[in-house]
Amino acid sequence: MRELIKKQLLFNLLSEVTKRYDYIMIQNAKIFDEITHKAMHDELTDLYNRYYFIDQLKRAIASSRRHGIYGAVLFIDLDNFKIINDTAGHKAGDTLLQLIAKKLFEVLREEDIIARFGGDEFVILIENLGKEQKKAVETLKIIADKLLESINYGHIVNRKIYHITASIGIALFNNNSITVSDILRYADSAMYEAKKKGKSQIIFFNPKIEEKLQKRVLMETSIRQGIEGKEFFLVFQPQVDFTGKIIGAEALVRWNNREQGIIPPAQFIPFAEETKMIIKIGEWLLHEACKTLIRWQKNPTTKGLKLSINCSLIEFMEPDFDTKVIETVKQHNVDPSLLTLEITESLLVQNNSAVKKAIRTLREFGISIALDDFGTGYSSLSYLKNFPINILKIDRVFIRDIFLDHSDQALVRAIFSVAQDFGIDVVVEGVEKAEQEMTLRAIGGEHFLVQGFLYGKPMGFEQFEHILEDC
Amino acid sequence: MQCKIIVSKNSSLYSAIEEIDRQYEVEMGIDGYDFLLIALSPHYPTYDINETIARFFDPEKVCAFHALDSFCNEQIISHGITALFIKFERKGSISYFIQEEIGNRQIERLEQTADYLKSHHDAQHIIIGGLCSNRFAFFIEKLNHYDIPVDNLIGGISSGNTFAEEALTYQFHNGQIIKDGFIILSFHNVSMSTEISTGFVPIGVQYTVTKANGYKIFEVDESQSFLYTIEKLTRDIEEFKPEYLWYTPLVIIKDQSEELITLRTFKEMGDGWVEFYGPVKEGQKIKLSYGESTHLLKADRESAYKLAETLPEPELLFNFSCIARQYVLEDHQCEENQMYRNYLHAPLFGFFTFGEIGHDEGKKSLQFYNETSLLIGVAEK
Repeated sequence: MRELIKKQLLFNLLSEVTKRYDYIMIQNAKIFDEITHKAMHDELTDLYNRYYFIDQLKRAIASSRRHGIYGAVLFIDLDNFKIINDTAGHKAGDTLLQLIAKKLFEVLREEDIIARFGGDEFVILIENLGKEQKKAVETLKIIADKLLESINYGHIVNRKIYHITASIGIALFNNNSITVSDILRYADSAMYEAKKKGKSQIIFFNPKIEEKLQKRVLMETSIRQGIEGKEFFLVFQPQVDFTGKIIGAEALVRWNNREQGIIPPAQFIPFAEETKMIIKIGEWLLHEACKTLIRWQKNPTTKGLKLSINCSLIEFMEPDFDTKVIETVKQHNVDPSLLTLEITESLLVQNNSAVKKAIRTLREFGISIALDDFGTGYSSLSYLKNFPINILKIDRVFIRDIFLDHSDQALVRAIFSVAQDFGIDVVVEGVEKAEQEMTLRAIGGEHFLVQGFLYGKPMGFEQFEHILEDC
Repeated sequence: MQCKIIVSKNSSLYSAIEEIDRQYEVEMGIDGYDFLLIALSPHYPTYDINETIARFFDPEKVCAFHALDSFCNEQIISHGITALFIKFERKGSISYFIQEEIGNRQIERLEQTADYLKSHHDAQHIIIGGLCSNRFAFFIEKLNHYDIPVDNLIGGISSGNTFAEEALTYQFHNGQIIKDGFIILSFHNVSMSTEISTGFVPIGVQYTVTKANGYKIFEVDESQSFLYTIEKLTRDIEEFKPEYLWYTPLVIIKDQSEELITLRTFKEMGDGWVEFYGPVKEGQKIKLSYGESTHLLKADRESAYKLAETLPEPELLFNFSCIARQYVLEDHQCEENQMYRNYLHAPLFGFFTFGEIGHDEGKKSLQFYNETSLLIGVAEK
């Protein structure tokens, strides 16, 4: 914080100096040079810093407005740079940033201004792109391609070669009444759009991107208000054993928006993950799950029932996720063995040591970890060896035609066998017909749980308890 | 001259003084002392201080003063007491001059002080004063009209917080509480060398103060609001706090030569004015400056080096360093004293002040400073 304040103060002080240079009387030229440099440059890469860039952008916008000549801001963000920092360490990450900064600098013309905004974000100001938009865009495409090429280069750090890509968002300006914050926001949202399209993309800003961005912001606000306004609620889908006895449920989140009514999870979960609001939803879900388990414990009909909830990759990547979960469970005084966290393979693909540690800590605490949708993704058996997972959930795609399709039967049989060898429980999802259940029994005997419409659709709390009473 | 510095962080005044007395007798093994200078935190009960000191020490030989943070060699002592024991071994001695209520009959008090300084021109003086409702800084500057010797007087303003509308920046001697004045400790038959360390680099436009009152500047260069300049300096800083401008103190300079007269620490902004922690006058040439811990420590190193040239073997070091400088030094606060001790190898006593008193660069006038570190080396003749 203090570093930022000092830089801003010094920058403001020096801005005054450069505006009235003829009045300057510097006592100690050497120290002046040193602090001038420090005020305007990023310490790690020696590129310009945010303050200098913004000051120059203000000037460039004013100049463009006067002369009607196009200028542009290019927002560059390195793809998956965090993984390098996490795996190779911050020192190697910093060295890589220095190498990339040097490469980017070499591509640009002397009059272009490149700055590091922090982390792995670089911003470039290009002026004098002519008065025709088409030509300006063509020139920028060439420059952006060269920049991508210079980044996607085998950078050697500590004798290891790192191939890295970047996403570039570009926003143009000319004689319109655009502000510095507008142009930076446009370039940033174009970069964000480029990221969504995959690696190594270049996207020019257009109003549709802004529209999307606004929609995203709106959704983010709605989700936040939804949590505060108690618009989210849980539904429960029973999980039963071979005798048909309900031994637990999967709790699923639903959203009854005040204005739009019920919003399907497929619509809001991706937004929630993009905006990281999924973390807030996840925290709410965990608290609700704990409250449910406590209530179940007090009722002889529901006592001992287990409850599963879904956890997203975003939540798991949060530092101290495991600690927060354990604290919440302790806070509600819930028996951890009654709670299952369902994760997907995408989390394990990362092979992140922090994720591994978090799973292990949660397991040691007594919480079950279920691998959801098993069989549809990478389905690497090594996950079963490397991660202390204790439940596999076989995806519905293998169950749909299992009573007809011998290959589905063979696959499910193999999964049952592997799970048994590893001492892992199995839950079969998507059981909707009696024929499916019969086939499963023929393959797997009695050593698995089932979940699907045959045993009950996701239902409200009262209805779920009602079913249990009837049993 | 033998010098020992003893610290107690005991929160009870009685126990702290008792602990110092015990340490002095048992651990330090000094055979008597000629003078005891005590820096004590303002959290101790003011009206018990003299009495408690008298229970353990000869009050005539003791001078105490408020200090938020005092120095025991490299250590910074907060919420405690730091005591400097001096025992002269040759011809050295010490005498006192006290001035109270400097707001009343000020001319008379100025004349008395000037007479004392002139008649003791061969002594080396350390002055410790209080805020005196901002009058002390003006008093010091007014002394310049009396043609006093200035190169043998140096000191600082006690630092303390305001409690029940009293700014606790008092001095204590022989049963007396000096609330609105100062005490001069005059060292006889000693050599003293002083260096003034700043480290702030004047940058940018030079202004002439054209409208000022007390500690406030209203206008510069005939028609320009100085508030506007400061607002430009603070633009784009979120949640602004006045302390942020302690990195950019005001420097008052001599017109042509750019020679530094003094520095002023920013206090606050108001309706059309900017206030500092020291007087500013119409006609003064001013600039803004900038410094960080690295610049300040570099200047400290130069001061230590220069002092070592003039007084190669000091037996005692004092450092009167501004509280705003403490803020700018951030995590490097102890390094200032470490730097001095590394070069000069003597016990170091001092405190973070509410203002420093010393001569100007040309040793022609006495100045009230902000944001400086005054390094003093003492050796008995």
